[in-house]
Amino acid sequence: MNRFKKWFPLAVPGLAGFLLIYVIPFFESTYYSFLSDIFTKVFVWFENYKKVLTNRYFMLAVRNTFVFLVAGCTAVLFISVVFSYCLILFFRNRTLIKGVMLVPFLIPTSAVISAWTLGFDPVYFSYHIPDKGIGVFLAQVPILAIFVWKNCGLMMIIIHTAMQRVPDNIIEASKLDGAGVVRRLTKIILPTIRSNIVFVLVLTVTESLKIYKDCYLYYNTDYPPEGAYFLQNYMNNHFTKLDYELLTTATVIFVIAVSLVVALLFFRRDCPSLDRQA
Amino acid sequence: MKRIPYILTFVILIVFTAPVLYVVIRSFEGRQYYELVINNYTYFKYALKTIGYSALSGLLSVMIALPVGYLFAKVRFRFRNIIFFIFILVMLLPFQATQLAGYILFKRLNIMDSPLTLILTMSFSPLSVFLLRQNLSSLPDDVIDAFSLESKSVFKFICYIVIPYSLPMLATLFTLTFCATYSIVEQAYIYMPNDTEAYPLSAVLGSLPEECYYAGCAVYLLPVLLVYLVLEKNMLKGMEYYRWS
Repeated sequence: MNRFKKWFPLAVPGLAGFLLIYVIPFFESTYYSFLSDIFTKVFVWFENYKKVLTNRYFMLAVRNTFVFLVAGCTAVLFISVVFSYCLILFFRNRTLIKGVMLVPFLIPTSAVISAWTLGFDPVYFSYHIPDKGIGVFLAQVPILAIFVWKNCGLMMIIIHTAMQRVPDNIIEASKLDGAGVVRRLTKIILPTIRSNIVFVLVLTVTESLKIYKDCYLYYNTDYPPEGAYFLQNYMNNHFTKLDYELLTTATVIFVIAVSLVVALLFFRRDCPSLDRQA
Repeated sequence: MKRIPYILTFVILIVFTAPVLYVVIRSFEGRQYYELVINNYTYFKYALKTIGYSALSGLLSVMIALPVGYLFAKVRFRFRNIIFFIFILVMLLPFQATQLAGYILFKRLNIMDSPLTLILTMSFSPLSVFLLRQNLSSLPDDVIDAFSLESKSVFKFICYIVIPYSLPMLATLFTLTFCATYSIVEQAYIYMPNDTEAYPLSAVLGSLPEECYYAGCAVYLLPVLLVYLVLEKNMLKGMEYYRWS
């Protein structure tokens, strides 16, 4: 039943779709990044890369995206691990209203954006925050709040479910050996559920890169304040300005960076797909 | 000490539903529902269309992901790792990084400004493939061997073994894609620049008149919450498959 010949015809639509929508046009568009512009089409080698990498707004966007990624992922991971551990400690034998935690992840942000603009005033965050030093990142605070609210629930459920599956006898044994509450978490539980933690990390990074929509809905403009100007804004604005050569250059740089990170996670001993046994 | 669980439950309830509650409460101010039904009935046209797009991409994504997920889970072939790696890479890329690729393809197929663009981009969901792969790789090999003695048909195998085994996960993936499609904004702006009539609701929600804005938002939340309520048990069942290795 596991013969490639039998399954391949069924998987063809899926594989072909991915190839046609994402992979082939990507390589095709890579060609644009070596052209002067899409109208005259003069081959200019790496001129665009030089232009993009020395562009103030590109570097600004890279910095902001990186800061958001690190802050958002740390916050989500920390909150969800600590909170699910609390739930495990206090709700050992009780049922819990887990269902409600998934709601923020599933509902569209555009429907509840008014609640967020009530809590965080967009006028204040657009005009009244410092434009120098560390203060510029204040513009990311509302976006960060939306992001944490949206993703914590799902991540908490994943981690909570994983923690429940840690065998009781290991925990009991460590209790007998005198391990405290914190040590049980860091030395027993977290190493046991490492695989789930890595997945949560990957999913959080994925979601944090998709933050453009929330940023757009919150600031209601393509040009948010400097601290919240992300790579996605940079790409989107160059798309609407028909600067395809700059967009593709930025995209190629971005894809290379992301693929390096994914490769680090993927080609490991406990990666999802490396064939371990015959 | 005894009260802590109750306090925790209460805090969770409030924190996770506060924005929804706010919108729902505000929607009862004035005569918003009346305004929405009487003066802004185009809203419901958009809403029905959006539900259609979402349900269609949800179903399609499940149908597309099932064989691909099984391929990655159980079948051994050359370049499997590298192809799977590309899937994970695509999963991580935001829409802004893939929009030009999609634009080139849809321009060539001549389906710009059509809702087909949205349904196609949402149906090919790498996250679905990944989760289904994690789910199906725990399908016991004994079951597969036992079935191969009975029949050689792949379709029977899918109907009697694969679908029953991964039904909770399939329901989950349907819900995830449904909700993702239901809330798309920028995809509509990019792929349907000239046809605002066919926009999904989320892209035009901001332009609702103020006298029925909150009612519009509250009604807009209903279908998602309904789908989630129906499929909630399944979503919570498959949580152990959300793992990396």
